[in-house]
Amino acid sequence: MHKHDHDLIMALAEGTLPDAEAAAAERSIAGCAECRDDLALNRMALEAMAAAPAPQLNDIERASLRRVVWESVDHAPETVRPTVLQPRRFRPWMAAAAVAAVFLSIVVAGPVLNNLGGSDDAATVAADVTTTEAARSLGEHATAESADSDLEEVAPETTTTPAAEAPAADSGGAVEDLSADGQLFSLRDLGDIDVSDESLDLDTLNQLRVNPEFSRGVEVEVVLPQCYEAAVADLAPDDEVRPWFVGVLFDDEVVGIRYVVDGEPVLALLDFDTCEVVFQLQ
Amino acid sequence: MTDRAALDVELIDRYLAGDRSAFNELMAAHEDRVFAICLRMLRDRSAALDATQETFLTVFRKADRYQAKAAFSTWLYRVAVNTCYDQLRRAKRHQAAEIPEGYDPADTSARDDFDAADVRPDIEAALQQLSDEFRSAVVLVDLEGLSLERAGEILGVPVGTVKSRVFRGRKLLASHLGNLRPPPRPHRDETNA
Repeated sequence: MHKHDHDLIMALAEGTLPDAEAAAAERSIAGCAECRDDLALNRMALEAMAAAPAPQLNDIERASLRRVVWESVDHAPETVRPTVLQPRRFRPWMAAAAVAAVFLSIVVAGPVLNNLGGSDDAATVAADVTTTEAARSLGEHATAESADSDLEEVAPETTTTPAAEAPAADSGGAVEDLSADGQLFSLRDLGDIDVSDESLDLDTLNQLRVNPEFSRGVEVEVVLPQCYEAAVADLAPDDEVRPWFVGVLFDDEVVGIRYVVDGEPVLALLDFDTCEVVFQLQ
Repeated sequence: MTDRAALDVELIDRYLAGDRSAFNELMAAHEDRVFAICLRMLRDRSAALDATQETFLTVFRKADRYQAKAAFSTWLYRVAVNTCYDQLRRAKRHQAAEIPEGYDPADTSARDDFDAADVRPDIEAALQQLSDEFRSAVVLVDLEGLSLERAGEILGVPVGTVKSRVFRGRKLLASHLGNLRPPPRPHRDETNA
């Protein structure tokens, strides 16, 4: 069935066509048994859903929800801990952090995904993409000049935003460790990694890992195919998408994707919850 | 920009400036809608409440990342849907680890029908038969009444993909509804025969 037919059938089922157009549409599909079946099924589904009442919180649930969330808001201190992820403001040290995040995630997630057939899954997911805004936004980010920034100069970010110190809903990642005195890995040691290096493998990456205990607490099995779609949706058909890793780092916050645009490798990190691109490296 | 959208932007700005009561207003305005999406995605009220809570905590933590190029509610619903996806994956992993040999997955469709009090059980059960991607599209467009464009923004996919998922989702939903409904009662003559 053609896309046009889908549109027509959906419009017919929804009753959004003017009478004359609806009559013409009905006639046009009269000779198509599959179209008639599709129309009947669409109508049946819509009628059933229209009869379903909208769910609402009851009083107890509402009170519980507000208490938990509002307490978090009310108890949030004004000054926040440093975080690796910042909204769409590129700084050199971010590049290093991003590279570190990606490689550590590969180190952590790679073996698991390999065991799970993760590459195939990722490729399948990536193949299901077409167009949206997200990847266009990738081009707005500054290109990383170098990943070997002087990380000693990374000052803790502070803000008066009351938002940032809330307890993580599902903490378990390593963001606190990253900013703590005893860093679990050295960003300097990862600074020379070439994003375009095709020969990098897990063994090499494992050798670069400073602290083998890093993988503790990082949940690697959670994947977000919708973030793949958001990240690569606006690429041209000829652009190559190579999901590099599917993993989670920093309190379940980051998904990394590698792809090639116009022959140039690009590495993107996306916010786990919102699927927004927070870093791009080229 | 609608009045609601403009007000949301104002509330976010106030919140980021330190007015914590603004977040309460934001939450009060959107909590039922977020809960409805989560309940229809997850079916279980307790899980939906958890997901709603997690959604608002995430939004509260990341409010400074919101950029007003999209409506706040679009951003909020995206977080809600992603939170539900995450919960569903965790549940599937957990379930996969615990399923005994010989377990019949078809039995799950009949589970908790009476707990899902706010959604008609047959619709609810049929929705759960859809893949997560189809279900989210159908929930946002057909049950929450969002436009294809907004659903696309929330799901991070093109409008055409949303449309295709809704079309196919409706067909599957109707097919499942047909299967879930009890067979017609036999005619009295047949019963007596």
